[in-house]
Amino acid sequence: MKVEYSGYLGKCKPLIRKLVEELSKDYGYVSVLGTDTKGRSYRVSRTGTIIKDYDFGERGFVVRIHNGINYSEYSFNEIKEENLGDIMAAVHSSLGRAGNLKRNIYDIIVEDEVAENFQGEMEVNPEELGQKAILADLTDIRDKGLAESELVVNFSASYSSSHVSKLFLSGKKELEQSYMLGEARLLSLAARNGKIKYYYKSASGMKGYEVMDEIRDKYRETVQESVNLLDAKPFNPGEYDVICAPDITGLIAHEAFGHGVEMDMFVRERSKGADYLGKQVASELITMHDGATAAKQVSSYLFDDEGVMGTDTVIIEKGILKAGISDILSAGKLGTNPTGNGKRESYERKAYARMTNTCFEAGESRVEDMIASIKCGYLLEGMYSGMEDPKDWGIQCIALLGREIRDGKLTGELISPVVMTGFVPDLLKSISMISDKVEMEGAGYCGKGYKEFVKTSNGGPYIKAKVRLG
Amino acid sequence: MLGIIRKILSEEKADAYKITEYRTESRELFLVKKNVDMDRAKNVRHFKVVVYKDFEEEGILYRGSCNTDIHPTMTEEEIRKVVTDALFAAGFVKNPFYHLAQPGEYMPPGKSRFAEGSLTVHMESLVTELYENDIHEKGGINSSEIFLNKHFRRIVNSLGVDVQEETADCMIEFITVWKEEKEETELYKCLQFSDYSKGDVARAAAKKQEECQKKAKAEKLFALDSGNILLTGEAVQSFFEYYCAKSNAAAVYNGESDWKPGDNIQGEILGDAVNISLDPGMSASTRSSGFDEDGFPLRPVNIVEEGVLKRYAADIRYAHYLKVEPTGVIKNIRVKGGTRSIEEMKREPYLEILTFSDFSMDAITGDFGGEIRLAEYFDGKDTIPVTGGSVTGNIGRVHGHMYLSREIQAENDFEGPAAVSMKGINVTSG
Repeated sequence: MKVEYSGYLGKCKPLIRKLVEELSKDYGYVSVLGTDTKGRSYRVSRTGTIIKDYDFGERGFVVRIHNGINYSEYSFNEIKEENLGDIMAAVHSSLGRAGNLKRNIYDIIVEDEVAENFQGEMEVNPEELGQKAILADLTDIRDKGLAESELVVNFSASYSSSHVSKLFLSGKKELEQSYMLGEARLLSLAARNGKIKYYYKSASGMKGYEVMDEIRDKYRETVQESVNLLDAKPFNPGEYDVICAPDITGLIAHEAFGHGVEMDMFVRERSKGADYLGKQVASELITMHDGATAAKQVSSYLFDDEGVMGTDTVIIEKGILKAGISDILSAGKLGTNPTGNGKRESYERKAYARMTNTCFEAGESRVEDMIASIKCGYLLEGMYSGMEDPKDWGIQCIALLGREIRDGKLTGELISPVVMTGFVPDLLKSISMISDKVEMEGAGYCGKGYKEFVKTSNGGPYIKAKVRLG
Repeated sequence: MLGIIRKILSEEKADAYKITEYRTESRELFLVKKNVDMDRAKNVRHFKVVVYKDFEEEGILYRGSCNTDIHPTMTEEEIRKVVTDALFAAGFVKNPFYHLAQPGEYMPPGKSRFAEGSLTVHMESLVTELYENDIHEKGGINSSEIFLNKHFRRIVNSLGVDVQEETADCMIEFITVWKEEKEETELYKCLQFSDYSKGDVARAAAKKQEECQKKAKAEKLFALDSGNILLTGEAVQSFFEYYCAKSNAAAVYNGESDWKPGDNIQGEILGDAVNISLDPGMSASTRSSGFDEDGFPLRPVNIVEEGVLKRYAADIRYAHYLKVEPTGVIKNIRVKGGTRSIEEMKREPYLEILTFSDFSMDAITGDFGGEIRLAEYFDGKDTIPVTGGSVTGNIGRVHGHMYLSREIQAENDFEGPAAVSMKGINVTSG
């Protein structure tokens, strides 16, 4: 079924159109992004139940103007016919004021006439399914998880929905979109003799409640892994042959060359990627994509938060760095085409060049053959965290666990946690085998540095590489 | 608006409620090199409502709740629908009963210089300070983002709490760069404060530039045996946040911590004992407040004394569940300095880590680690800057014999040792 568009934004559209027209009398470019995002988060655990509105729910507007030299923005969340004058007065009085500071010059955005709308699809509308049914389902999963092992001190089943509606109006653009995002997660906490370990499984997508079907039956392995982790062993830090599961492959893609090709970093001369366009940065086996249309996941959309249509950018093709991803202002500055990657944490925040759905393409190897090819190494899985370093191309990825491989076989022994560090091209050039199936994951958030959190998905196939583990 | 929400909550027969109103006015500047790349302003208002539904099953009293957002543009009809939906949901939430906060005596937060005068004028002063030492040929500030905010927060609940405060704060994120013979290198810094003295911002920027200069000369970290490791700067705060997380009543109730008051949490102490207090009125902290999110009045409190857990940090709900006195949620951490000076810590070979890519501390397992962006290695004779590689360890295996510096660092919501010296953690080469 189609996802309904916000009635509020529909009602506000004539007012927003009027605001754009009035401000256009004073400024060479005016656009307004309106957002209305609502959703519910549910978490049922042994110790309690939480129901709350989705953390990133919002309803408001951001107006962007060209102030004669560069761009200024004003965010607000109260609009009616009577206060339109106040909004315009605030735009006039608070923007474009930088005292004696010099300003970087930006050209006025040139737009084509376009009017489009998009309504996503879902199978099970959580708003129709109802809160009682969702809680009953989560409670059933929790009970099954808790019954799996006496070592489990807590087990939770969570689901959150995010019903997104956006409106973008400018002199020539009239864009509307609505879609539903769903995230599901199982988390098991096991303890023994004062030692506590945890493991999780998650699923996400541009989906309704059907996303729960992807992990409903995974309570058993979630519990089992948390218990197994209690016996995780220390290991000698050093360089190893590893196989990365798709979530870790996605984390590498994201941290290694996702952040590294955000082109607002090119404008600031903060990315080494700018100097490597057209050069080999990875194994010839590697082709990497990012884009709102590169996959159907949590960062798929018709248009970005600057009114640019989503695309599919080939970032690395057979090991050669081909292109970056950009917001509209960076593209204007660099003389490139915007790629529809201008994203905001909310209407209250600035738009930056951000990743959408980032992944490596599949290869031809079988996972069993990849494991068999390793004499001494680990299979890494379970994304914990990562951090980018676009200037120096360092990489830090932390996996929840590593499965020991000896003489081509999984031994059943685990190590945890595992910190993977290194120089990005060294890591990507060491990739020697790639499995034949891509899996995507988008249950977390991506920050720019330590803020500006947005939804992204990452993924890829299993990859074999040589990395440094600590 | 608040009156309408209260009227609807009463008409829809919420057993209890809490309403929080937030207003924010801000000015933001984004600079590339020394030039303004974009300016932004913001004026927004939000209402967050928690509705409670009490019910009894088999003689046990439950209090269900649901949190919901109310936008200022909602009509009365929309608000009523949101409230009734939330009340309906709360009826399925089978959490043990607990009380809401009662009205109390509130300590006002410290006065911020940003609270008075124009944000635009304050912004100009901050930019001047930030770039004051950007005078070198080989490096400087690559880019910066400055956020100046004035906040209003009011909490009203059904037991008569009606408390409000106005605060102001600043966040400055900046990147320093430096180039020597090798490729240009960079470092990241984020400053947050609700007040500052003249020179604070300039000093912080100069310090980061100096570190960046060192990083430009740094060698790749070579293989080291696990020796004397010195954590400094922001990683020290992340390290001690583990103790706060484990002392939290909610973590105990949810099985994430098994700590009990009276426990010697460091085991046998061969180094320095940990002492931690929480101070809701820490000067210049953006997280200082006279009350928490429940409207509970906050006072300074000691959590850990000489390595022994004295009491849980507990909000009003989890304090009720664990039958302990609530402290409210206090976000400023103060850790007492130790017995050694940094000079004493450096009398033997050491690896002093100045900046991580992202120091990660797992508050459940105590595992910590991160990739090294900049460190200094002293081999007993020479000190050289190094970069790359990583450290990993577990707090349970180091805190019995770690030393805390006598010197204290203070930044935003943390005041504590400037350095922590520890042994027994893994170091991987770069």
